[in-house]
Amino acid sequence: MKSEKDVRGFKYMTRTKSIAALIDIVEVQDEAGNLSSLKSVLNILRHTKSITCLTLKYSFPPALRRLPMAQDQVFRNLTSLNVNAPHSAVTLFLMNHPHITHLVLGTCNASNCPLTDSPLPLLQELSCPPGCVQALTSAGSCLTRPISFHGSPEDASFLMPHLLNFRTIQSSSILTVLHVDFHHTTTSLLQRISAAAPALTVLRLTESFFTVEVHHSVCDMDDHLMI
Amino acid sequence: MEVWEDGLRSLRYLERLLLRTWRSFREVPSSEDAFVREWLLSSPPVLDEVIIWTKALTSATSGTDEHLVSWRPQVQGIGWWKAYEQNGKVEESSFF
Repeated sequence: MKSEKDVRGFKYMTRTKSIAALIDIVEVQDEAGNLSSLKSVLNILRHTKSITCLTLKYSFPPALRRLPMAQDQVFRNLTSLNVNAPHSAVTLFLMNHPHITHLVLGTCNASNCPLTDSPLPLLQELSCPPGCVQALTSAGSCLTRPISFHGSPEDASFLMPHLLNFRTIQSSSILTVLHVDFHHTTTSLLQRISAAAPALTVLRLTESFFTVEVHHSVCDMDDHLMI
Repeated sequence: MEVWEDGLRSLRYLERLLLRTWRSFREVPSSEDAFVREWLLSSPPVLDEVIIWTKALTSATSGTDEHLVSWRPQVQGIGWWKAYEQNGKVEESSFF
């Protein structure tokens, strides 16, 4: 659903139980993610209990973002969640959905990620700010593809050495793919990554967009490659 | 430079490396190529593709100076060759 019109149409359709039961994926984004659509989205999610993938991309200020469904609502088949709400808003939801294998989270909005010890034993792919990776894997997971990105200047202020601290990222599986937003001041970046994920086969490094001071600058890259 | 090369060498199983930066390694493209070739000499044995995207800008800006090169190892002998090169605005899809 990308528009309020989509939301209205989808809401109407899901009134029929037999149709709602067949719906596998719910995606809310763009205009459909406006605050004014939240109530309708709640209504839709009340009926679509068989979903396996849920995407909620809100378009309103983070402080107002909450999951539209009741905190104790459970989608028994849910394996993929992509939501840009503060992490404190998804804590209980994640507790109730241990079968999630793919998780994409937006900016945390907390100094200490509240998702520490979230039991996600089946988690394979994770995309979240760097300050939250350890929290989300602390309870054990079979993560193979962590993606750490800077979604905001606050994320960029997280010191990458806290995540890449020369220790292996906790996972019961072997990490083979890693995407990292890096800050050019991080020293020994590749050594840190090698220690965090020694069996890596694919590494994607993106200089953080929030290191705006480097925009348009042309400087000697010897310094840059000291990372 | 040595720190970077040592780090690269330590990723022993690395097959693909993608690096996107807002800066350029060198002001002149040919110097940049020589610079990349130099540090690729220290690459892990199974590294098969390196994509370097320099002067990468945001979608909101006109990235006329952007430069993306896909490097592949020589089939025989030592060294790397440019499998693909693009100057000017680069699409995100090229960086996957």
